[in-house]
Amino acid sequence: MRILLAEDDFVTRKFMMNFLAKYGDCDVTVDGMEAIDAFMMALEEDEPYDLVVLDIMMPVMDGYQALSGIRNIEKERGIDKEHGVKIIMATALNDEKNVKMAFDLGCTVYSGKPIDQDRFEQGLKKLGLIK
Amino acid sequence: MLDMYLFENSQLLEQLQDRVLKLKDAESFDDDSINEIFRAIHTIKGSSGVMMFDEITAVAHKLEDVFYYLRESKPTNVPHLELVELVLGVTDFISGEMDKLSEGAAADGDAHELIGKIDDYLRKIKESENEAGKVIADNVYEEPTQFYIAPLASSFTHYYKVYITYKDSTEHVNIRAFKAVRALKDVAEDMLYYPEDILSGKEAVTEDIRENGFKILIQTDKAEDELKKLIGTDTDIQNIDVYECNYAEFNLGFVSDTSQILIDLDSSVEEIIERSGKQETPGAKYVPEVENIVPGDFVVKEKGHGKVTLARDRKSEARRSSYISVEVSKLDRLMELIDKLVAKDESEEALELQRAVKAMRVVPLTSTFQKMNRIVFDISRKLGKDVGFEMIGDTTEIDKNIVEHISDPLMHIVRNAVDHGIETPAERKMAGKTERGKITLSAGADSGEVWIKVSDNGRGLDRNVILARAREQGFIDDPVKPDDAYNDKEVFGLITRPGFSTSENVTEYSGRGVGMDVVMQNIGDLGGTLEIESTKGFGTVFTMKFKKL
Repeated sequence: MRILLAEDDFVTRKFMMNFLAKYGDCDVTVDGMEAIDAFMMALEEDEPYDLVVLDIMMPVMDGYQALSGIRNIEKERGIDKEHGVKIIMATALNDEKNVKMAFDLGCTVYSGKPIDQDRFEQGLKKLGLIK
Repeated sequence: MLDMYLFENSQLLEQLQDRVLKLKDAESFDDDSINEIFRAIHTIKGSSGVMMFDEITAVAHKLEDVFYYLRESKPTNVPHLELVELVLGVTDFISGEMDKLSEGAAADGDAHELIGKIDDYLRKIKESENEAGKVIADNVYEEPTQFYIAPLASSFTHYYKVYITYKDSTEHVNIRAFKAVRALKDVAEDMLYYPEDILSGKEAVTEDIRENGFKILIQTDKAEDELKKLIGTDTDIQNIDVYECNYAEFNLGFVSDTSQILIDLDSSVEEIIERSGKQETPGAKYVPEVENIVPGDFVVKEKGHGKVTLARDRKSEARRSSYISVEVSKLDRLMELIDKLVAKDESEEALELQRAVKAMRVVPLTSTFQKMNRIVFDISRKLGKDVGFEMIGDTTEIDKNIVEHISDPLMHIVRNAVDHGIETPAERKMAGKTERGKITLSAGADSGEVWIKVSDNGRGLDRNVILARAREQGFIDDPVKPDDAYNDKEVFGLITRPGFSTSENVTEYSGRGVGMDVVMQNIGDLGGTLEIESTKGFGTVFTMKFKKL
């Protein structure tokens, strides 16, 4: 599976890369803007990502902006909701407000940090990304 | 987010249980109740699905199946008490799982057996109903499309904000601050402090600590007191405040602190203008080097992308605006401070303040009483007794501390009342009483006192038996003093003595030695008293009294 990770904090990035490498090839970006670029590039090269993991607090564009950016691109290209990329928000922000906004914007899984790795994996299974 | 889930669902579970217990003696659930139970369990299922608590979701779905069937095909042959027990079984299971979650553990319960039972039950009512041959659509479970994973809660890790201020006379406050850091370093899993460059020797840093105190953010498995102890040996320290915070706040660092706007109310406008002019000269004041907040970084605070708030959101917003929840530890701290104040200053205002704060700590007894309803139901079913339950004055308010600790003794008294107080239906009939016994739980407030009463209309206490036992077991030393010389209060008081027991046989629910003496002790610890009145053949009344704050 192809994974795109957007995470600005070096230590977390390293940790997340190691963790996600178990499940597929992981590309890394450091802000929301770069993540959208990478997402578009992959679509154009016809090698779309299966999973996008976004931090929320990021420079240039935050995770919410990246999330709605990606969903808008998909809409433009006529990709319906069912076939859209699975997006996981991975963030220390755990307020109900934050979660709701992410759900409204179309994220698939909202995962609080520190990441509960077992349940994260359980989530990937539910999404049919791994067996 | 997890907090919200636990809060909302525990309320729903409570509602569900109340509804079911209220109707336990009915023939069957009426349409309204079926709808309400269906809705509640459906909501629990939905949110648990999103949270990926699969067992809770599965149990809730199974129970929903039953109520879906009841709603859609209105069967006539529905064993009611069995259904009541199943619903209570489900609410117990889910409450148990939620307790684990709230303690930071995993919801790892196995609902297999319970689901099997519900399945059997549903099959049974479907079969007995089959003759009509009605076909109704199945209640299909749709997996949610969005999920939430709660952050890993290492149950031992805490996050704290520590504020230390030093006495004006203290020299080298930066070195003192460094000592505090060193003291905490060994117990810290992660730590941040401000100002950062305490050892640079810059005058501005020292000034900053003097004026604003020294701030530490620490992640540790230690308790607040231990942190204070580690830091607190220094006599130069004026004050240490330790506040527990959550991971998100911890992660934000000191941003919120340093961006705080302080309003100077003491100085005149001229003074302020003059001072702000001075501050612009470079190096005059220590300017904290805080990372710039990048645009979009706090998009969280925006309402976000032109989204309309849902009606449901608005409702919960409204609820939150009329109530704010405060950590009990903060109220305790406030209490503590006010007690100190009152000790020094007994003015009317100080006392008024103390009363106002105490009033903030009172909560109604309602949920405690409702728990007892459940206990009466469970035990009377087990013992084959028919017992009704009535609550009076359950909205009476009492200090939170008492509410938290009253459950155990109250439960014990209620158990005893059902087990020993109320007779079996046959015995009652023989005695010319109604076959159904009754337990009444009541509460109220008189001048200066709050009382809670447990009354039963059972067999009552037998003076003679108690006195005989007491003599046998050596609780009465005086062999010549006649029975008549002891008044009721003295006699009934005997049953609260450690080791005293009148029960002939030990049942599952009471009479295992942990007896009324423990109840007495518990009530005493809460500053209350217990009185027992009883009339043989007519019942017993236990009255607890607590001083009103």
